[in-house]
Amino acid sequence: MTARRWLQRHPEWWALVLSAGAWALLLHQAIAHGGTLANGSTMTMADGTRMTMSMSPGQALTTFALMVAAMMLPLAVASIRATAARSLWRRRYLGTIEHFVGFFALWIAVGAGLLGLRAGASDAGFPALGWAGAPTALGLAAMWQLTSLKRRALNAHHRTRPLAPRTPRADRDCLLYGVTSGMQCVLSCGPMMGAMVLASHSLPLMVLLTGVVVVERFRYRPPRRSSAALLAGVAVIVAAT
Amino acid sequence: MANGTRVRTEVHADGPWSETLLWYARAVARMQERPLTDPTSWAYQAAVHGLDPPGQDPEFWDQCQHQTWYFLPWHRGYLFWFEQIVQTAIDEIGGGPTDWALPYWNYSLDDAQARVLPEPFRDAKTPDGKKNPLRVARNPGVNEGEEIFPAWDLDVSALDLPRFQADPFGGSAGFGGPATGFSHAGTRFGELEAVPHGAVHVDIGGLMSDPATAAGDPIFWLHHANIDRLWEIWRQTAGHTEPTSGKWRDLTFKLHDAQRAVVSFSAKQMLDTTAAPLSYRYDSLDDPRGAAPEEMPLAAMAMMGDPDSVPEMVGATEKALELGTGPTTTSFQIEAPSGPAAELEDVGAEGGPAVFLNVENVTGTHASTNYDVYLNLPEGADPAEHDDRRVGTLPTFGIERASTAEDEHGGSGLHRSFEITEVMRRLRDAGDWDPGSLRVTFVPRRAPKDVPALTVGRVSLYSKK
Repeated sequence: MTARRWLQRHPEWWALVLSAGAWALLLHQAIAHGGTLANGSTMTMADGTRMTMSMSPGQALTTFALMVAAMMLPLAVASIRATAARSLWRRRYLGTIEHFVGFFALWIAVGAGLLGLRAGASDAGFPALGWAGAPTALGLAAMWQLTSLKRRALNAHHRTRPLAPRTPRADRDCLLYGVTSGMQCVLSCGPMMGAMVLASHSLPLMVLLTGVVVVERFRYRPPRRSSAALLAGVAVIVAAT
Repeated sequence: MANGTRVRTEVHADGPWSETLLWYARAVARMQERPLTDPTSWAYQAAVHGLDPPGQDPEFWDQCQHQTWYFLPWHRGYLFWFEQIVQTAIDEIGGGPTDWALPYWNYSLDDAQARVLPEPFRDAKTPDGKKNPLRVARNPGVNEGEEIFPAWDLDVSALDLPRFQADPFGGSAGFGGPATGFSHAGTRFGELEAVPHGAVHVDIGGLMSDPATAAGDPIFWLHHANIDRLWEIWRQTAGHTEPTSGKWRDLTFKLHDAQRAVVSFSAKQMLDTTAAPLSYRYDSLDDPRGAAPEEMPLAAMAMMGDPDSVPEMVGATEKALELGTGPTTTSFQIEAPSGPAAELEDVGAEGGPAVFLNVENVTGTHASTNYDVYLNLPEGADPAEHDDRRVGTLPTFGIERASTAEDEHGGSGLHRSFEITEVMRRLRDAGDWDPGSLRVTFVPRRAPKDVPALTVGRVSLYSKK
């Protein structure tokens, strides 16, 4: 199969490139900051002193956006591909971008909300959030795995919807398809992403959670109990360290 | 049983209540006495295919593979181990054949009686004078010996398709269905799974109309034996081969054998029926098309276009369509291909691209009837007088699960693609082809129980190099 033919069959290729780019940037950021990515995390300097990272809201939101691109875009490739396949040839890339905009915008809105909550909690004098945030959020994420809402959201991840062929209905449909895919993704993975935001998390935690969400997305009957147990175990480990 | 190989014979081969059917009825009655918890019970075997409500034993129940390229190999394994369980039940009763093999129902025979439900499945009592376990509630007329199927629903043009695997979205359904993972309730039909398989299920009705209950009807097993036989007929045609991908060959499924032990199998073990573990064959692999198989593939290959080419959408409806009790028509604009098919001649011309009509995101509450699909049917015309404009059957088998958001991968509805290149050429030759628009009509076979019975999310046209 030629490269041209491969690209025709995989119009979602750019989403994977974007995800890989986000992973590279986050890895670079983590290496530069001693394995941490987030606002409020501590890092050990060469002389043994510890200093706390401080990010502006814009930087924090950018980091969150990179995490969404890295962790969530691989989950969206099937719906991005379906959008292209169901669009007129001349607008199939436009359709996928509209889908992406809907999907990503929803996640950014959720991230802004979570970061706002985190900042609000700090301002209101909840200092415990810094060290208790991670295990608490992971514990909640573990419990969320067992709910029927989580199961329904996971099932809905695979859903397709009819798309009108021509502008403006086609634009609206592609955008809405992205938003609804994003909503199911937020419902399914939001608590885990919340754990990443509310805690001083590390790259290994991000890799672990990516593994969980990818397995959930691509297994027919996702091992929700196992992943809940895994998250609960991680919560205990994080609390103990 | 020659050399340990069971021979599956046509259900009518030895008269209505043959020894094969009589012992099948006795074994079914025996299995029905066993509790649901027993893997060799009738209820358990039916639950392996599907159960309503689903999900009570996710490891062994609700396992049937639909709208997927695993449809044929999974059902082959399911039938084989069921056949072993029936044989064991016969052995327990005593005095029966030791080489019992599942009969098949060849409804494609050129005989009106072949399209009537076989008598042993209609009689109230068995020749022993006992309540007949083979008779269950079905659509009106089916148990009364009426002819069940319109010829369209027994169409075996799936055998013409040289490729097992479906094209990417919008193109050919393929003989065996689309590449998926484990798929208990999927979306997109393979051609054989749609017709005759799905259409026959809905035409018989009752338990058969829903995958969650279908295997509870004893005729289910004979219907699937015939589908399995059609796969064998397809396999014997030169150039027809199954996928070589490990993804298809190696995915493992689990069932129970007659000793209640767990058995695992994968598609690659389901290819040669005469080799272990299967060891069975059919008494006849005559091609129901009545043509020499080796003459088929080249023409069919040309119709399907380049297997690696990506189908491109050239037109679609703008909004969803509700199907009522009578014919329902929709129309939409078509554009000239601007992608891979653009370099070819005009759509419908000799040497032009293959063209596919897609009926997408079909949702509904239950499968009460199949639909005939027509192109450019004149307004007010009697569809029966325009067979030349008919593109195929839209079966509704599996629509409940496909429409249910609660089910894994459910909620998207069913998807059927029709290869319509020949119909388009006929319309073009008749001067009734407008390259700028297309009209599509859906005609229900019988008045649906609910109105609207179905919602079609979108109708679209794809062109493929």
